Amino acid sequence: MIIGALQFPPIENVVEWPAWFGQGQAYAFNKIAFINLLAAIITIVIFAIAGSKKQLVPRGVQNIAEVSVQFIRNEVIAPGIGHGGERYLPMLISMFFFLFFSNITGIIPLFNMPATARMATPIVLALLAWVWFIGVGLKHHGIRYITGALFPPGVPKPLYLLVTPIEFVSTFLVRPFSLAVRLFANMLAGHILLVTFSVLCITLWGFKPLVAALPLSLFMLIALTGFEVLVAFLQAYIFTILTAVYIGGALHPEH
Amino acid sequence: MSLLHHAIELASEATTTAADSAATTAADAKAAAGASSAGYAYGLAAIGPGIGIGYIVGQAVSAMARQPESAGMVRTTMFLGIAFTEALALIGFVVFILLKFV
Amino acid sequence: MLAAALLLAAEEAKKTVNPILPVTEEIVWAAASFFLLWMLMRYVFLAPVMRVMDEREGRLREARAEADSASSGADDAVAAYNARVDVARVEANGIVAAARDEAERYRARQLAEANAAIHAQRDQASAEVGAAKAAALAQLRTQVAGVAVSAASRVVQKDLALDAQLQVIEDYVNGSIEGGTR
Repeated sequence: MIIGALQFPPIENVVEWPAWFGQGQAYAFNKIAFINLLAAIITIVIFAIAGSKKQLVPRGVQNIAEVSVQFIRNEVIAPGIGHGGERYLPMLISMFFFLFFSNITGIIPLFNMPATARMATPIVLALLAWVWFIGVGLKHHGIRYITGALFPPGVPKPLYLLVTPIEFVSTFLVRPFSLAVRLFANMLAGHILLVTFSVLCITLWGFKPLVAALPLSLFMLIALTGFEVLVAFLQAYIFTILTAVYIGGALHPEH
Repeated sequence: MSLLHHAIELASEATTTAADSAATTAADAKAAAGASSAGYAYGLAAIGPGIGIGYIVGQAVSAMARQPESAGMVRTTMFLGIAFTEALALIGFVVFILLKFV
Repeated sequence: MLAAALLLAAEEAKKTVNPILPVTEEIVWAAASFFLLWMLMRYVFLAPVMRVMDEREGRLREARAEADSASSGADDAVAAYNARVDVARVEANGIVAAARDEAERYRARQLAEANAAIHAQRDQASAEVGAAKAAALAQLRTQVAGVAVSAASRVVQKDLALDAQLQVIEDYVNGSIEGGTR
């Protein structure tokens, strides 16, 4: 063993978690699954409590729920979808809370792992958003949605040779991929940063000649933890508003 | 949990390095090349989005300073623009992970 | 034994994994959790919250409408008050103008009366003066005539007929006066 050298753990030790039960099965339940389930349950509990109170002046949990509904309405649906967007509120609000709680576990002690730093959660939600916005487009505009997206009006005919493949790739292939990768990579990067500075702190603690540098590393760790709170919120928000923008683009394709 | 893994890893390395040092040199060389190119990949991927995000935020700040009443709309649009621009850097980060750890 | 266990653990840990790719069981659980959340939110738990918010919004709107109507009522009252004040002001102005006219008329009347009285007095006084002047003149004239006749009779040493001389003097005086005034 090398004493005092900085030894970064292998990536699978940082992001992979052993199953709690059902090892090797499709229903294997590990920490990521637990966090996902917990995110769903916490959200449900918040809204169940908020819905059962019904006070004229909201306080506590009811306040959280109502503020978040207002937030999704005013900051996500209004700029993203525009009119007719109210009916997508349940999905968007579920998405926002699910992602936020899955993200925020990255800085909560004893979890220390954002569920979205694994590709599963982002890809599921991104594919859902993809299916959803294509479905909205087909439902409201029929096949003209696809043709309108692939052959944008006002473009000279020969340019369709160039425009159509680009539109196809950017609208129907890149969107879910970039949506998932954005969230996943942000959270994984944050997680790896936190792990790096934690490992650095531990190494400095055990390595007496450089123990004076420990406060710097610890300060960085704390600052990054605060930054990760912001990132957790921001990434949930961006994922939700991008979904809303895609749905809005499918609902009002003339814009 | 990861620390336990880490300890096991270190201990196992101590027991096994002598046994198959010859077999690991090729893998080590690949890992070293991967690690260095991973650094280049991420460093290069970060340049463009860094400039882009700086430009977006700067323009957004000047827009907000000019018209504070439309700050909310500008902020939303700014976050969207940052999200699109940042995607490039994040793809670079994914490439980094692929080169470094896989 | 321990070394074997460690080796096994190391083998398990060394198994190459791709940290980018999603894992089946995590996809299963993520999808299950999210669909659970979505369905429950959509059909059960979001509706009461939204209802409470809508109720509150409706109540706010009602209260605001009430406040608006109350404030418009207040505006009406203010307008009515202003209108009444205007009417009263016009009325007061009329009264003031009437009073002023009355006073003006009274003053004019008094002034005219006073002027008339003054004129009358002045006329009377000038008439009296004229009468007194005429009487004095007549008296003076007779005395002067008497004196002149007596003086003349003394000059001519003969009694002159007083009445005839008087007539002569009278004519002379009148002529001299007329000549004097001329």
